Amino acid sequence: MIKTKMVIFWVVALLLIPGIQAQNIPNKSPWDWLQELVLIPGVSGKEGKVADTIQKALPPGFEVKRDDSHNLWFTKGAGKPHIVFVAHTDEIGFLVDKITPSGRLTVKGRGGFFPKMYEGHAVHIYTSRGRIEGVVVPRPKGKEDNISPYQMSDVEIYLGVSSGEEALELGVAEGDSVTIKKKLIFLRPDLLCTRAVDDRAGCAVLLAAAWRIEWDKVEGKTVSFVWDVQEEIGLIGASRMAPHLQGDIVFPVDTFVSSDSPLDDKRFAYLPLGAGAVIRAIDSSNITPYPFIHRVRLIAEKSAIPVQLGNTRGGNDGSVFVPEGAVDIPLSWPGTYSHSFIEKIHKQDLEALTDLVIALVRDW
Amino acid sequence: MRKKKRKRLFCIPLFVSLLSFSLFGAQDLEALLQSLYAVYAPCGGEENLAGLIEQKVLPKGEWKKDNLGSIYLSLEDGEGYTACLVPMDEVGYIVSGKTTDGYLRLDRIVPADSYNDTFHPGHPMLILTETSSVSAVLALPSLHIFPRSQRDSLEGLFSLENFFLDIGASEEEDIKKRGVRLLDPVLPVHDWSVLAGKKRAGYGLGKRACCAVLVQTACKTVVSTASSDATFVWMAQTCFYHRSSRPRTSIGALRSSRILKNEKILILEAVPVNENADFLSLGGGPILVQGRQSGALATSLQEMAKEGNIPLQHLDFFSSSLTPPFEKDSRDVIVLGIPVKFSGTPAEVIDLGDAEAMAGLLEGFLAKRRQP
Repeated sequence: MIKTKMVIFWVVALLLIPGIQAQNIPNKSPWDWLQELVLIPGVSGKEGKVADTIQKALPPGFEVKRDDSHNLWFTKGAGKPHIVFVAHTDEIGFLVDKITPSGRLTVKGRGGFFPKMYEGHAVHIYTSRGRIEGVVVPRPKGKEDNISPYQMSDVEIYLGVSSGEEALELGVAEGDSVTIKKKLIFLRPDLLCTRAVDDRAGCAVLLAAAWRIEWDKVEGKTVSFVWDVQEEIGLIGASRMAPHLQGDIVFPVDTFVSSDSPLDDKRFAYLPLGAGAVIRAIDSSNITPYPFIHRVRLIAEKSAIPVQLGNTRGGNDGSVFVPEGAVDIPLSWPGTYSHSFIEKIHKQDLEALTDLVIALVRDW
Repeated sequence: MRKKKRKRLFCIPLFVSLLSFSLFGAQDLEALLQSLYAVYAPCGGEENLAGLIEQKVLPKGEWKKDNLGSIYLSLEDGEGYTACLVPMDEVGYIVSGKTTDGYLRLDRIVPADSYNDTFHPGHPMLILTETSSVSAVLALPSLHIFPRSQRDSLEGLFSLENFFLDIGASEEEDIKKRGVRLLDPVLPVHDWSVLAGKKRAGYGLGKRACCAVLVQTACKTVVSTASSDATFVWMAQTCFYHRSSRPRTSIGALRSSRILKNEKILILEAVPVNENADFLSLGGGPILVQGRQSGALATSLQEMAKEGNIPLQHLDFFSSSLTPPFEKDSRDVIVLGIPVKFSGTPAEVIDLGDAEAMAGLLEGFLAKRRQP
């Protein structure tokens, strides 16, 4: 009898131990995290679910902080310099503005994009009762040639109902968020097109790095990892975090919009996909001082991490840390088809970027 | 012994599912439609869908095929009375060129207009190669790279002339390695959306719903009687028009009209419902389009609808490219339509209730015809 109990005990123990280990060290690459994170809705102002996922996924024992707007961060180490890494959890999309008497939804845009991409396509509406589907009403045939470009004010969502009351019965309310129906489109096993790569790829990099960094060896510096909100509508989350953290060096981790695509002019912002991580030296919000670029390159070189250098357009979260005294050094991957449903990213670039973040925490 | 028992147990669910599909088809119309919708049928390349339809009709009847790809199922006295026809194919593109940096150029398979083109940039597409399929996306300009002042005009790039299909290749050799060849069909990815109630949305869903209705009707007709006199036709190449015919005539329908001898022609088709028209509605039942030559067939269907309390909407005229070849032969031709909202876009909306009503009407009509 005792013998049987012992056997059961050891069998259960042996089954549990690997489980516990797996729980503590998820063997997930940034590529795996990315595929999980992009599918979570997080239109600017509605990032709660993304923050929840990241918070739950962080290594146990971290003292994670979160404010009421869902900015999420942790800080390790002590002393100067204070190095801050920041990625944003929000994405472009819509918020429901009004429910019309005929049961359709008008919307407000969150972030900059071509509303035309949505015309005639299915969308997800995230209500308090769960996700429902709708379609964006297309303009009638014959009218598209002689009318002005499709504007945000043209966007109207059909849910399959014919009155405002029926729409309300579905659980829809003003302020609900709306995204395209997201899909993971693998052009190759290492080449993914999907919505919200900007900036779930940055989120995935920080998450994977948080697991891989040997935090007990971080000495003589303070390191903060931040997942912030509302970047797409004016760097709002970062503006709140900058005075609070008072970083010396800030590394925003976000897309480098590359012209490595057939409809863009390659004389500008051309960095090929698959050639490594990027130092986004100049963009529409920041110029990184050259000595700091040089230092990043040296650290990358020491660890044999492929890094490209370029300038492009668009703002970055680090720029609002600059008035507080920080140096802004944006890190990226080359991405094409920006702010679309098919934002393209190469696995190798994402991995190089993760390695670069780890190396910077270790060697800066 | 045990193995035999396991085998039997395994067979039971399969048998039940086949039986329930055959006998209780109406409940499974959505599942049937979804399974047909999962298959791509570019104009001129309908063989996969045709094969699936042949598999679905249980028990299998005697099938014939014409050299355009249309399939015909004639029951016992099929040539004597009604032929029910439905289009199988969908509007799409073909690979028309390759660039040195690995992108594909496209052309339309059929004379689809620029309206259809504008919906696809920035969305996934599927290339049907000889042996499999290849995922792709249709390129669009990167928003950030253009100054704000130019962004409004970028919509002009959403046109066939600016179509570049991205399969993740970086040179022509890569394209070859992926098995993509010139003239391979390219279609928008089918995306099944569930709207409120019985509304469903997807690219080309109206036509495919008609296909499903005819499959279900054929199943029931074959199963429920030993003798029937109907012919069922799933037509290929209906999006392509015969060059010298006026009015505009589908080549697939023209070929079928030469093959079929039936006096009565019932065509199932997707009928667009105008946003502002208040006389036709989604969910209001199938639409009976009475052409100039509609006679006894229309009357029978109307009576059947009345008897069966099946909702039926009426339309005096609908410009169909499927009816002209039959009308020329002075046959009794009608169109029974499924109302479709946002026709010709990736968000075509149908009401499954209309499809079910159409199936009920058709089954009732064919059953009544069989009564002595």
